[in-house]
Amino acid sequence: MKFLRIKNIVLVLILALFSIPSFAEKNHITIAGSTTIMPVSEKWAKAYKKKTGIVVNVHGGGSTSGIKATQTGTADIGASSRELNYSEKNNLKQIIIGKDALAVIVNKTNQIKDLNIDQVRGIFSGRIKKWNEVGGPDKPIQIINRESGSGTRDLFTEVIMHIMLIDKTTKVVPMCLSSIVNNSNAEVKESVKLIPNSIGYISIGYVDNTVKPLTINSVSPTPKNVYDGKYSLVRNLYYLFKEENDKSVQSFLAYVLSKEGQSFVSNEGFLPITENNARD
Amino acid sequence: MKGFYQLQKTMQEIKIKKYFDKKEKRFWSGFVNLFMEQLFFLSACVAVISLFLITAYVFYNGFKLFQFVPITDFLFGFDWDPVTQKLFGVLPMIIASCYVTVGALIISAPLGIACAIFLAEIASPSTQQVIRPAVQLLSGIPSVVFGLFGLAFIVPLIQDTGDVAGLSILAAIIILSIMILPTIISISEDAIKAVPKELKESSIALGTTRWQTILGVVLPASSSGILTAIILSIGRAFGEAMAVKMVIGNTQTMPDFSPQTGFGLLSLARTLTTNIVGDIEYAEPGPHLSALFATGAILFLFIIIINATSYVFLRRASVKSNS
Repeated sequence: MKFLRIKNIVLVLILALFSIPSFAEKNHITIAGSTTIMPVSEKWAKAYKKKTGIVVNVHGGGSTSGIKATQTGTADIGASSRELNYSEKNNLKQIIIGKDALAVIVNKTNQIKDLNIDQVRGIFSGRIKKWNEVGGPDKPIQIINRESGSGTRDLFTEVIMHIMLIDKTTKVVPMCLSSIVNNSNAEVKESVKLIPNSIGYISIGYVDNTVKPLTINSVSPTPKNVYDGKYSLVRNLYYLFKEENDKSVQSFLAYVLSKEGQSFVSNEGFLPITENNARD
Repeated sequence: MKGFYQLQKTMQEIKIKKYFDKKEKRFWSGFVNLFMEQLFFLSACVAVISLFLITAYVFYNGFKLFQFVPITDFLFGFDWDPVTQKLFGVLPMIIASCYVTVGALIISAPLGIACAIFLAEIASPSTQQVIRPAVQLLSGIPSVVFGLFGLAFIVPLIQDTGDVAGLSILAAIIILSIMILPTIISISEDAIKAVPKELKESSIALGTTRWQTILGVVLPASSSGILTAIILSIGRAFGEAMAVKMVIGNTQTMPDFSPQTGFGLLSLARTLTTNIVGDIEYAEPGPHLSALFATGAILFLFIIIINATSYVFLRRASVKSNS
């Protein structure tokens, strides 16, 4: 019996050895969040690595996912294309890294060129169901929407889906639930490309000649109209970080805000923080 | 005769046990034996404990939802909008999951069983050498690739039939049927091959044709194996998330089942699995995340019910065939 006791102890010790976790060192920065900001983040990551050798990993997931990741420490920097709400502001600091505008896009085969905000709201709430109600052919409208946690969707809801009631209060018109739900700007663009009667909204940084952007109230989504204040679907793009003063994170952020960093913003189709950066 | 044979077996077992008991009295081999036994026992425990932990975690977090939302609103609600309008209805998803699974089965079960019969009974060895590896390769293709194929090839085909988005329940059914076909074929083929030769020979001796033999003898004899194949493929079709998400559109309300949309075939939908995949990245802890766990719990329940039903059927079939 004594033998068995020694055996069991040794056995347990050996098995316990296998359960010791391995610790890896951290020498890189992780950015997670808005898919809108992803292309710029990736350009910054590449240029920063060339300059300093520090690796920056970029992930998507949407603004809400990025905010959560920064709060829990999973990510060093969170990318958000929407304003932080009260509870999120608590332990996160934010800096503006650029401006963005949303373009409402339709498939290239669509003849429509312009819509006013009422019509866009009618379409996305499901009240307007066919293209012939807004001057197009007699075909059903297929709405492409973003997921609920999307900063892009939040901006769209704020600007388009609010209506003012008689007693001067505002009400949010709910989005049509029979819309297709995609989880990123890139997916929305692909869906609009794929489906002939579709309409969706993406950041202007993603617009290219495979989809057709519409003018809203005859104002087209160009940088000039944004800085002049004429185009209304505009928002700030943020990087978020926790209070801790991580030197590597701070030096990366300094690079992002520099003239060289801001040039990447305009290269990707977004708008630098100030118009001066855009002109230079 | 039976009793004597069993007595011989028991005596052999006692001899073997006595031999090993003697061996274990020596320290090192005894230690190694004990170590290996405990290691294998631990491996078995890992499987059982994992299953228990996952099930308990999913159901526990799922039940948290019902603090916020009554269970009837969840199970029978028509709309899913957890963030903006606080709606948590999963009935459209349950219906869509069942619809695509049944649809895929209707296509693949006859095709798969027919292919299995062909491979096991009719095909020449050289034909078998071509078809069997093809089937095995098909079963190894990752789900995402099927989704890609669906999006690039099937969806535009469906778009050509009219003013439809192309993303539809029909696209999901087609993709799922291709995905579950190899499972049905391989397992059914094994079941058909396992039918004893004597059965087939006696049937042929009675003067039946090959087709009558297959239909009247081979298929009924292998029916439990074929049923297993179908149950396994139901499980795979019901639980498929990635490929379905890429072709079904992921809407948030009850799909349109009117005749214009081919009774739902051409309409967009959301299944239980695509609900979790689509929402999980941004769901905040609280009602939304609990609702996703509850969706997972429903998936669990369906799989448990399907497996339990199949177990009951198989036991009945084996009791019948033994008596």
